[in-house]
Amino acid sequence: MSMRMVMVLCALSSVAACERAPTPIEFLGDQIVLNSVINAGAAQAAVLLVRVVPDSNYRNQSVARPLPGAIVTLSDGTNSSTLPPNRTPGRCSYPLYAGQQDSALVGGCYAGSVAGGVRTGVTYSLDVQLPDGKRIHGTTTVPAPPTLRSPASGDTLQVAGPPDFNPAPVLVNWTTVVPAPLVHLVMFLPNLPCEAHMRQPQNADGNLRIDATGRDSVTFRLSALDCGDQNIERRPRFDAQLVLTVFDESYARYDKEFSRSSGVRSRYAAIGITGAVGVFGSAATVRLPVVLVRQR
Amino acid sequence: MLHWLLSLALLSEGAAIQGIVRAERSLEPIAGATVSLPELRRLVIADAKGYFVLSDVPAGRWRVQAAALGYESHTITITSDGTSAIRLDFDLVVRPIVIPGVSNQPIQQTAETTVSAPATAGPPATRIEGAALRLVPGLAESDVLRALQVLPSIHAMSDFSTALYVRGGASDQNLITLDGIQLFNPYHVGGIFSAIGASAVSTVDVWAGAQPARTPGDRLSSTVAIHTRDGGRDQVRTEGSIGLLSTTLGVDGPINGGKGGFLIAGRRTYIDAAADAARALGLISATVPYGFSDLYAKVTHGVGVLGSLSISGYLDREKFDITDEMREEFNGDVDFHWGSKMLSAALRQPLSTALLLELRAGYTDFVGNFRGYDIGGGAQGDTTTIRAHSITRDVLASADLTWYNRAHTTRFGIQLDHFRFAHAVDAGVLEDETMPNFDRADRVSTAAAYVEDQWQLADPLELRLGARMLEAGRLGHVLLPRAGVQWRANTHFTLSAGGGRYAQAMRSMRDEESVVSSIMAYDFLTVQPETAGLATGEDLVLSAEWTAPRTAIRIDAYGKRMHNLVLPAEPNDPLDAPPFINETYRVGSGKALGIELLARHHIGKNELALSYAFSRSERTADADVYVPRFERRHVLDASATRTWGGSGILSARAVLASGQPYTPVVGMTSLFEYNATNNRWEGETFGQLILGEHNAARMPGYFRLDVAARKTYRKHWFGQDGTMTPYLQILNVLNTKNALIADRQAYERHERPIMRFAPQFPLLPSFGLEWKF
Repeated sequence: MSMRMVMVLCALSSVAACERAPTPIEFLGDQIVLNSVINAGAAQAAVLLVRVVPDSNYRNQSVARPLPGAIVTLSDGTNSSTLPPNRTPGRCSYPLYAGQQDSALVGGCYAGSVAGGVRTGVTYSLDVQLPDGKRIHGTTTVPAPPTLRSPASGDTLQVAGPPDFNPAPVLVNWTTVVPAPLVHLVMFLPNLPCEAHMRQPQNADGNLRIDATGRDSVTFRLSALDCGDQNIERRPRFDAQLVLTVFDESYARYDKEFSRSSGVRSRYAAIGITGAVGVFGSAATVRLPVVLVRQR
Repeated sequence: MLHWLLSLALLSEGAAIQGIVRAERSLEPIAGATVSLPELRRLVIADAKGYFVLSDVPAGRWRVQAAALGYESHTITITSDGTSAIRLDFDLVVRPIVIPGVSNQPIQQTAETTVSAPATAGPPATRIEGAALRLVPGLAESDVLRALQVLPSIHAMSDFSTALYVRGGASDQNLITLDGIQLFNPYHVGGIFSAIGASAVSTVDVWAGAQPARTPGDRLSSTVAIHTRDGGRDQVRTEGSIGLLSTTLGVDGPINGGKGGFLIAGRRTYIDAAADAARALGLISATVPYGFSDLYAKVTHGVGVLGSLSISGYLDREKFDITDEMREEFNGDVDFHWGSKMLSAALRQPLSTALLLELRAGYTDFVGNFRGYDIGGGAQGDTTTIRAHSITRDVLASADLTWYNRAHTTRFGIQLDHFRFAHAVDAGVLEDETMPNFDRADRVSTAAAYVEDQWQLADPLELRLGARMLEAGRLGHVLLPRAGVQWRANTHFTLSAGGGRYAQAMRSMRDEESVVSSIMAYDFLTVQPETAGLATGEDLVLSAEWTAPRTAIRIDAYGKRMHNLVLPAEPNDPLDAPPFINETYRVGSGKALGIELLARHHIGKNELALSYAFSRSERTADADVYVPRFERRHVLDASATRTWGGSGILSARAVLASGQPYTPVVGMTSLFEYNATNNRWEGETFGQLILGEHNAARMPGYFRLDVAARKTYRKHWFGQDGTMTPYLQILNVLNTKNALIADRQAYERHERPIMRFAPQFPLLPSFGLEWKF
């Protein structure tokens, strides 16, 4: 046997062992996903109901499709409210990235009034009857909203304009009735497509949202105002809202799982509900009007 | 203390017989040889240097018999006056054996087919003879660490890694020593080959549990002690091999008229040249600009009476040097080299017939450097884009004193280590979650002291009691009791039990749960975090061994617990998990239990070996309880060797094992994030996989059949007698598609997600030629 023949045999044999035949993954039942957070003080509640299926257009992807035809009932133990289908685009969901259709999931949106509004300290039950008769059940107890101590309503806050301008720090101070498992702070501009970047001492770049869990105060500087293509050079003042939200345990757990990069663990795939994956939680939000002044 | 011991030793110095058991002609010491006084029913076992002491010999004429595996036993009659010391060396004649190091014909006093190193009370270490290492089919050539995988105590993460996983412990819990000095990362090509040349090895002792207090270093799971030959003292001999991937050369011989010996063994790969040739022939499309070499050298010289001084060194170098074509293709350049080295100086000197002093000093390290450049980075020229380095270093000194008495062998010792660890990755703008930047440097000095007594309570009953104290600076200190007992029911059957507490001051940054651990054996050692303190563990081992002239069976059962383990931050997809555990981790615990069987049987021209291991391992961190990814619940390893003609050997090895665990996919979801400012859910309509419990599923089972053939031809060339041994070995001869990792993110136009399993070794033939003159 020649050396060349031996090497040919070696090379052939080394590539001969290809992968094992793939094995289909056996799933646990239908992939129904329910997402709902009811907000203290709100007159209405909404539920987003979708079915997740493999995407036939893309490899390695699944896609969410709206799930119409369900009967959704929210109850506080005394009164029950049926949340009817709501086809208003953007009522329940909004795409994170441009290019996706706002209306893609409207068929899975159920929203309507809650008798007596969503009340703090009350435990609400969610009951969903799917078109095939299966049921989803969930409960949540609505947390009390925090009390903002500073800044004061209508305060003027500085936003960085020129790159070398260092705006005055903003101290946000609040109290909660009981320690909240998740606290978010956002600077919201209701009438403009703008995002305010809040830079904390430990973060050089700034965030659109501050996770203030476990704290009762936050200090930040408004490091940038990003309004995309909109020209704001001539605009000196902006009406904004400082939004502080506390969440219940269910959404706090969901948020933690959401931030993982490597898949959802089954034990945390259904939080606050049974019969589907997703979350049924509650929140309490306090909004403080402020004015942002851009340094020029 | 030493003065007290010397006084005590002199007082106890009655008639003692001391000496060395060596191989005839080469005069190399025979480790583990037995020396006995049949009329007095006394038997001692020579240490790794062939040294023995028979204490308290009464006046009279006595036969002294030395025996060892593979050698003719030899008896000398001596006359003792009951007071004087007698020097007695044995030079045993090598007996032609059918299968070197594994079996031969019955002799007196020792069972001929053994599976253990009979040197301690309690569950003994498993010993593999250097010659036997060559009979285990390896990847292209003999491989010391890969050959150890035939033992039931030792598992491998994959075909690609020679890292050892012992009884549910991770690879960083093993101490691998060469001449008593720890080796860091003794692997080539990331772990595919071990970097220790088999030709220099005399024996390998594997302590998989119930480690005595005297075992050097402190690790939770095992000690793998590789002993090297001293080199012949009669004439210069050479040996070597030419294989598909590398060539080896070894020379040993006498120095100073036979008062000492030297040994040099080296290896150099030609993977790069072979790949270039294959590419020139059109067999492969790309070259492999990689090379490695290793060199071991040792000088031993007699000192005083029965003393010796040994100085040895080991050097392993690897380099990846990309070609001009690659530079052009990737528009970049790479400077990547790594390797380890070791230097050891050891002095052995009997201070009297009752006292043996051993001093050792050593240096050992592993250093790797990586630089990746973008070529043509503007006016500044080449720009470094990725830097990484890894340094693991230990400077150590130790002293051991052994006191031989009638029924007691008592050992005292101290070892001082100074470790330095520095590891960094700076990927610049290329940093991501999988490879975050880090830069850390740690040092720790440890001091360990031990005392241990081996007490022959009665003829068949032997007891070992000891304690080790480890002091590790800011990590604290811990007392580590060790014990063992052995009862020889008769000449064939032995029962033993042992256990102890262990501690470890270092941990590897490599995440065993990451897919990288399936293909890379290197440990990046660093100091245990102060918040965790010393990692500790306890084990209990029960062992039964039955030996007969043609059969040996050993059964071990063990239980083991480990504490303060640094585990990855959270269960993650192995494909996404960062390869390193740096500052984000969980401190957890582990436990393991199992039963192991190791049996050998000799029938005519055939030697059969069977090993089976059942093991259950577990890690616990917070509420997460999981099976580590390296675990195989059942492993059956059967091998057979058959003589072929007068000088050939055919061998085959089959391994059948359970699949390793992985985290299954149990569903799909779409993740939306709640925006409290507008009470809407934001997100993507495409989905995320829902993962089941951590490592709750198993990959398909594992099966591999390896075969090998070798035949030795005697030659008389250049006035010298020698041998030529061509060999052929084929790994995975059935080309079984064993699963390496589970990739669960592939749909690939199927109706539902599918699971893909990346393959392990395909069929891999290799051949070569060994020679010895």
